[in-house]
Amino acid sequence: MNITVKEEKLLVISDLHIGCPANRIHTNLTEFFKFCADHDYNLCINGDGLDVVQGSMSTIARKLPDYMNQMTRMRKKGLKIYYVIGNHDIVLEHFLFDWNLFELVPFLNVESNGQRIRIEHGHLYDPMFVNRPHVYEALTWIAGKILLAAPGIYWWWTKIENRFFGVRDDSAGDLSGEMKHLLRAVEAITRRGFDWVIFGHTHRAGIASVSTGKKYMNLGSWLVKPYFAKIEDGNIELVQWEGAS
Amino acid sequence: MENVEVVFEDGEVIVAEGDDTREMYIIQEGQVSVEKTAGNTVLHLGTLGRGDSFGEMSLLQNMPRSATVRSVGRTRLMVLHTGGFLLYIRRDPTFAFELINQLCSRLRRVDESLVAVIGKLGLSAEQVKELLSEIEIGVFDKAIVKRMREELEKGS
Repeated sequence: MNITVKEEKLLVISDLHIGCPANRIHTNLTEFFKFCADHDYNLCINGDGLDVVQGSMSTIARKLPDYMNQMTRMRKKGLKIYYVIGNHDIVLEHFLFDWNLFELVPFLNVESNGQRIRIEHGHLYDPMFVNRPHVYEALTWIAGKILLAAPGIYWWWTKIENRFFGVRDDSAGDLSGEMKHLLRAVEAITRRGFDWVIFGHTHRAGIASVSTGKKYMNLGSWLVKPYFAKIEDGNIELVQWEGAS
Repeated sequence: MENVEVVFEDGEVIVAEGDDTREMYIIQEGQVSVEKTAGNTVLHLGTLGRGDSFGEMSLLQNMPRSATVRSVGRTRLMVLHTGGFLLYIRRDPTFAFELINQLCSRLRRVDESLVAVIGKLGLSAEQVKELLSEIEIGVFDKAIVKRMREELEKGS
């Protein structure tokens, strides 16, 4: 397994949750994969790409052919697709491996024109996931059942969080209010000579500076708004996907 | 326990082969050169850069340094001690994965080099077995003798 790669043209997306009933991104995502194939970008899916934990295989199966066509085009052109394992992907690891499309990795260290970038899903630093895995699993399962019955509830929930807790603004921000455990991890990782750390997991997009003077980017989730990181010759940007035009 | 950061200037020895220090280092900025003595020859084993680490063998096995590491230009390093190492892994578990990955790569390279050398020398399986056992005993003996001498010195 190669966890350190050199990349001069890489796009990174996170938390697609394909299969989740609240997911409305089918056209956008097909276009995005097509864009990667047309413009010769390597791609990194930074975890939680598929979602059987809160969704269903039948929903995934309905949507996959379009994505697979574009990703197969990418592979035929010699482009790479990295897949970083997120918390929703753990149960799907063998399934993803069998597709023979992805380079499955637990995290990815990217070198791009002198910049060192760590790409990781981020669930390892979520105290609820690490310290209370059974509670986390149970809550995820319950949320999945609720979403299957009423997918719209996800939007109500994000609005409530945004309004009352200032947690999940759907516009990319400065990540104020980010989980302190994630920020602590970013600091520890950047002390090892990384210039950027890119996480997903929290569904909250933005860029922040940490105490080491280095940068932290969160890609948010395509369930909320389609953001991606564009890494080109050492330049790193957070961009909102607004179609191929 | 916070991990300390240290700076070395060009050419300074960070760790010397045979030393009893036990710290491990992660390169934050700059480069280092790794050298090992083989008989009368000094072999250059490689150059490490930003993000690479060294000194883990002494930290993990509590054994003397197996090579000399020298700063190439100005180098800033993060120092990990045994206790701090475990704490660091708890905060950043991916570091353990990277370290194991690095050690596996090194082991694979050593195996490949060994097979290449054996192939070049045209040794039989029996000769290889004999040679490896001689090397193992030789290395092991050196470490035991060194430790016994230290313990005797401490005792006296």
